[in-house]
Amino acid sequence: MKKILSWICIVFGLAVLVFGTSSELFNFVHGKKYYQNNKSWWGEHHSDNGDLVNMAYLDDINTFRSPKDYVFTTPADTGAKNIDLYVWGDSYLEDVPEKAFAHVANYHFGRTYYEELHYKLDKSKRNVLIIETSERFARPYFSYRSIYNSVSREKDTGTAIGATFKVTNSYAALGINVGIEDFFEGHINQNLEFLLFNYNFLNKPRFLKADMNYLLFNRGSGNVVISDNGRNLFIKETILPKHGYSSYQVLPNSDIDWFVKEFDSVYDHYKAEGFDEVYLSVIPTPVTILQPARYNHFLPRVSAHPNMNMPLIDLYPIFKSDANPSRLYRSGDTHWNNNGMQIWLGMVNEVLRKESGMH
Amino acid sequence: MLFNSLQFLVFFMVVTLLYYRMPQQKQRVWLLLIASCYFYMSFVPKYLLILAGTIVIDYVAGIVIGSSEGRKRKAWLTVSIIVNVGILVFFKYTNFFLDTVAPAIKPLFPHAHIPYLDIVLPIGLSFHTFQAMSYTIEVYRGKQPPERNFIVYALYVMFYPQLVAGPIERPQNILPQLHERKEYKWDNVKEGLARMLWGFFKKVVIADRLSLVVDYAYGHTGLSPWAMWVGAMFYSFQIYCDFSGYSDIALGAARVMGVKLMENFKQPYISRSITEFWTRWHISLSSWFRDYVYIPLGGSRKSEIRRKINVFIVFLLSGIWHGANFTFIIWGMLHGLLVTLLPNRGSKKARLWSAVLFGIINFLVVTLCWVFFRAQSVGVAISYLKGMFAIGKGVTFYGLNTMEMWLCVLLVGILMVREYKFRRHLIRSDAGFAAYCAVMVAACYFLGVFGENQFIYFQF
Repeated sequence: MKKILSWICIVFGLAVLVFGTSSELFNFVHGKKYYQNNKSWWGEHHSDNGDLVNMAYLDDINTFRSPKDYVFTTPADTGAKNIDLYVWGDSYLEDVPEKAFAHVANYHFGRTYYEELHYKLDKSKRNVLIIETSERFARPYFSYRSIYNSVSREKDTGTAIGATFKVTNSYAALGINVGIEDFFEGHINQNLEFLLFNYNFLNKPRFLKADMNYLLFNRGSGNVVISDNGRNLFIKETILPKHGYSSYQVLPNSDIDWFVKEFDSVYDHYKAEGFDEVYLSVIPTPVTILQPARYNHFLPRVSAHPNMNMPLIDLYPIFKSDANPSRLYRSGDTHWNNNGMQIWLGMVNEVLRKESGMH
Repeated sequence: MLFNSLQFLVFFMVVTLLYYRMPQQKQRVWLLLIASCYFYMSFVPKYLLILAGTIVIDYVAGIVIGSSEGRKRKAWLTVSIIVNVGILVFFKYTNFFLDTVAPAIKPLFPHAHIPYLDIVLPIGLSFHTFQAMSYTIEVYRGKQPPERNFIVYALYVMFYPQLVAGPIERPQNILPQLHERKEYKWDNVKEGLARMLWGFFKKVVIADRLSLVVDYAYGHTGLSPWAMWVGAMFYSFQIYCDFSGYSDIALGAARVMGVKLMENFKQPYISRSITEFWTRWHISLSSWFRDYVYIPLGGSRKSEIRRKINVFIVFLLSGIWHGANFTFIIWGMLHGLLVTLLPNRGSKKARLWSAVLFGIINFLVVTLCWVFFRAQSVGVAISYLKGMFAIGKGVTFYGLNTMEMWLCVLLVGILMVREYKFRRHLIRSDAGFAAYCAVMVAACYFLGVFGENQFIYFQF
C-alpha cells in the first residue's frame, strides 16, 4: 500500500512540475479553470471589486470594493468619419469601444502581450496611431524593438521587420541548446500555486489570512500593499525603491535620455511608415498621483525633455492638478475609474477633432 | 529554486520518494546528481558548465594527488586551488577591483577606458568552491583517499541540500555516506521533516517579518535612535533566522534521506564573547578557515603576536569571502580586532547574572558590527551608526503597526526559548509529530510573509 501511494505521489508531483513548466499545458488548465463560475469548486477566485481586491482576497473589506463603472457615450460631433485610428494599448483601454472616439471611421486595437496590431494604411484617410502604456510597464517593457515587433504592417505579420532586431540568445554562445531557459520556467512558482491551491474550495483560509493581516496588522497580502491613507490598494512593485515598475525608483538623467531616444525612434519609424500622426500616452500609476512624496517624476521629466519629439497625450499634469485625485482611480484596482477614463477620452477626442477634415 | 518555494516542496517530495524506491545505492547517487543539476540550473542554467568544469578539474587533481608523490602532488593541488580561487575571484571580485582601481589610476591615464564586466555571480559559488578545495587539500594531506567514482565526487560537490548556501562540508563526513545505502527509517524522516518545518518557520515567519522593520529602518532617514537600534537588533535576528533557517532546511532535507550534514549554528546569541560567538556562528566556514588558513599560517604554535596576526588575517579573509564590498571587509576586520583584543569568556563556567550580562553586551557588539554587513556602503553604515547614537533626534516609527511589532518581539522570544531549551528535532510519538507538523504548517501559512525574499546568504 505504501509503495502504491508513494508512486502515486511521484507521478502526481512530476505531473505538477511538468504542467507548471510547460506554458502550453499550463495555459490549457488555466483556460479551463478561468471560465468556471465562482461557485464551481475547482474554479478560481474572481472578484468584480477590483483586480487588487481579487489578488489580496480582500473582498470582505468595504473600503476597497470598487467595481468597474465605465460609461461610454458617443461624442456629439461624429459627423465626418475620416480617421483610421490605431491604438496599441493595455488593459486600461481594452473595454473602450469604437463609438467612444470622435471622427473614427475604423478602429483597430491591439493589446500588449495578447494581440498584435497590424496596419494597412488607407491614404484617403487620416491615419492616427496612439501608443498607450501604463506607467508601471513603460520603463521595463517600452523599447523600440518590442513595439516594432508587435505593431507592424499587415503584410509583415510582425516577423519580417522584427527579424532584423532578433535578440541574440546568450546560451548559444556557450553551446547550450537554445530554449533551455524555457525548461526552467520563470513563473513556475506562480503556476504551481495556481495548479495546487487556486480552487474555490480552498479560498476560506486565504480570506481568513487576508482579513487577519488587514485587521490586525493593517497590511495587504502577498503583492498588494495599502496606501498610507488606508484608502487605496497598490501593487507592491510600484512602491519599491529598486523595482522597474516602481514610481519610487530613482532614475538618473541618463535613463530619461535613453527613454526619450526610444520614444523618438518609435515616432520616427511610424511616421516614416506613413502614419499622419503618432502619439504616446502614458497613464500615471495610481501611486504617482495618490502618494507622490517619493515620486521619481518620470512622466514630467520625459515631457519636459528638450529632445522629446513624440507628441504626448499627457494625462499627468491634469491628474496631478485635480483637486481630489482619488476620484480618478478605483480604490481596489490598478486601473482608473470612469472619471479618469473620461478625462483621457476627452483629451484623445480633442486631438482627433483638432485636425479632422484635413484629409 | 528557493527552499521557501512551492517548486522546492514538490521537487523535494518527488526526489525523496524516488530515492527510497531505488533499490541500489548506485541508482540513488545518479538520481541525486540529476536532481542536484536540475536544482542548480533552476537559478541560472548556464552556470552549471562552470560548476561542471571545476568538478572535473578537482576530480582529476584528487586522483593524481592521491596516486603520485613529491612535486607533482603539490603542482596539482596548486592547479586545483588556482582554478577554484580564480573562478571565485573572477566572478566575485573583478568588478569590485575595477571599481576600486579605476579612480586611483584615472589621473595617470585620463583617456583609459576601464571596462565594467556584465557578469552575474553564480549562485552559491563561494560555498561550493570552498567545499571542492577542502577535498583536494584533505587528499593532499593524506587524510582522505581520492574518490575514484566520478558520479559520487560530483555529488559531493553538488548535493542539492547544501549546494548553494552550505554547510561547507568535509569529504570525510559526506563521501562515506554517499557510498553507503541508507535504509528507510521513520525516525530519520520525522526528524528531518520537523527540522525543515522549523527552518521554514524561522525563514518565512520570523526573518521575513523582521525584514519589514529592518528594511524600513535602513530605507528611511530621520528615525529616532531607538527606532534605529530596533532595526539593527532585528537585523541580528533576521540574518540568524534567515541563514540558520536555510541550514535547518538543508540538514532536515538531507536527514530525511538518511544523510547527516554538519551543524552550522549553535545558539550564537547566547555567547559571552566574540570568540565564543565564532564557535557558534557559521561553524562550517569558521572551521574551514581554521583548518585551511589559520593552522597553516602557524596557528597558536608561534608567538602570541603572531597568533593574533593569524587570527586577524582569518577574519579579514572571512570578510572578503562574504562579498566584494568594503562593508564586508570592515565587518571582518572588526571581528578580527574584537577576537584578538577582547578576552574569551566562553570556556569559563559563569554565574547566571554574569552570563546574562556578558551575553547582552556581546549581542550588542555583534549587532553594531552587523550594521556594516547590512548597509549598502560604508557611508550608509557610518551614517546609520551615527543615527543610533543621535539622542533626542528623529521620529520613532518602525514601518509596522504596534500589534505586529509585539508579534515580532514574541517571535524572537519563541525563537530563543525553542533553540535554547528544546534543541532536539526528533519527536518520538507519531501523534506528537503530527500535531507539531499541523501547528507549524498553520503558523507558516497564516503568519508567513510570502514574497520573493531570497535567503541573504545566497548572494555569497
